[in-house]
Amino acid sequence: MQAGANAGSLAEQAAAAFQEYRSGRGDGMAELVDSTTSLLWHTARAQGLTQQQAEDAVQTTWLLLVQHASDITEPRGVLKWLLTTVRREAWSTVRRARREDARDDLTDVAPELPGEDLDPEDMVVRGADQRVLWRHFATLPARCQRLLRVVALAERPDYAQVAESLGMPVGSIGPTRGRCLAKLRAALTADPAWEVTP
Amino acid sequence: MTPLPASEIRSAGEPIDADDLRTLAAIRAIYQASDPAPSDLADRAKFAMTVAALEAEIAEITSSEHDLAGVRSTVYERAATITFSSGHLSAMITIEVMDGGTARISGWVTSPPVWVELRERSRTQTTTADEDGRFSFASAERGLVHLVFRRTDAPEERPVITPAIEI
Repeated sequence: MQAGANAGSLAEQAAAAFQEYRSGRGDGMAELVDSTTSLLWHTARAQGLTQQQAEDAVQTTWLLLVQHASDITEPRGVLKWLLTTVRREAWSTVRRARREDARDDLTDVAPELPGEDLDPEDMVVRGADQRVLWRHFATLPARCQRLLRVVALAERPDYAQVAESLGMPVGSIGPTRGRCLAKLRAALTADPAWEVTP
Repeated sequence: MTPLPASEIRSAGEPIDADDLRTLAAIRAIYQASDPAPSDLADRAKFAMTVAALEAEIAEITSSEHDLAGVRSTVYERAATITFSSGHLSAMITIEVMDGGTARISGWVTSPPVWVELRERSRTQTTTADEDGRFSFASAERGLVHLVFRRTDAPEERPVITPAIEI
């Protein structure tokens, strides 16, 4: 499924599964949960939630989808709805953890997000390529790391939708590189240890 | 913040190419290997969603404490105290694992009188909170459970459900 551009984007798969669920046919909702939970998890974790907070945010997002299924008029928007919801849940968790006024939860202003809860020792970085990449990736601004983590877990055609759901409009139509990826690319290109494919 | 060099701004507007896809694939591989979603998360979500179809109000977990403090854990293991809250009520439960593979759940809920349902995989148990809001279930199956709260004096009000928790 993650293999490449031929499989159809996650947004399309999600839309098809959601449509099936809405029409009462088949097991659309189960398919949607199976295909999208991983992306929601990485989105929640990229906002700095602990593992347990991220599990709760993902579960709550799915419960909210059941309750709001009839409000989503355009099935193609379901992936974006899910990403936006899990991101809001995550931000609200971050605020609550700081005992701030939870009534501000619905604003779209990013709280100061905590660092990611990843122990460098837990990182599994295999092979020379990944080591070079990780070295440069780790120097990117935190917001770029968050964005690229989620974008990388999605599919290329979904890039714009994903960025927008995170409150980071890509500023142009279609899957362009965007500034974060451009910055990483510039760093990698300047590094002789990173072999650019011909 | 330092401004981006002009070359990077130009590059940002270009379409994603094969090198970018390779970079993204490597980032994906690293995160998938380093911080994968728990393998049972999708199943738990699906279990929870069957209950959510009740049009209930969803309580959020506001805190949880494990007796295995400091141990990295992705499930609610052993004895744990979990607090939930929604717009209408708050509840706290304590889970004690008993010999023989079952668990005892005791809890307290604000705004009694309420019926409390414990939904396990294969059955549902019901009890009523006393006038102080206390309730308990002597024997719960280990595994995924939810709690559902309904007001006895206002049965038409939306029930409140908790996310699925692993006991």
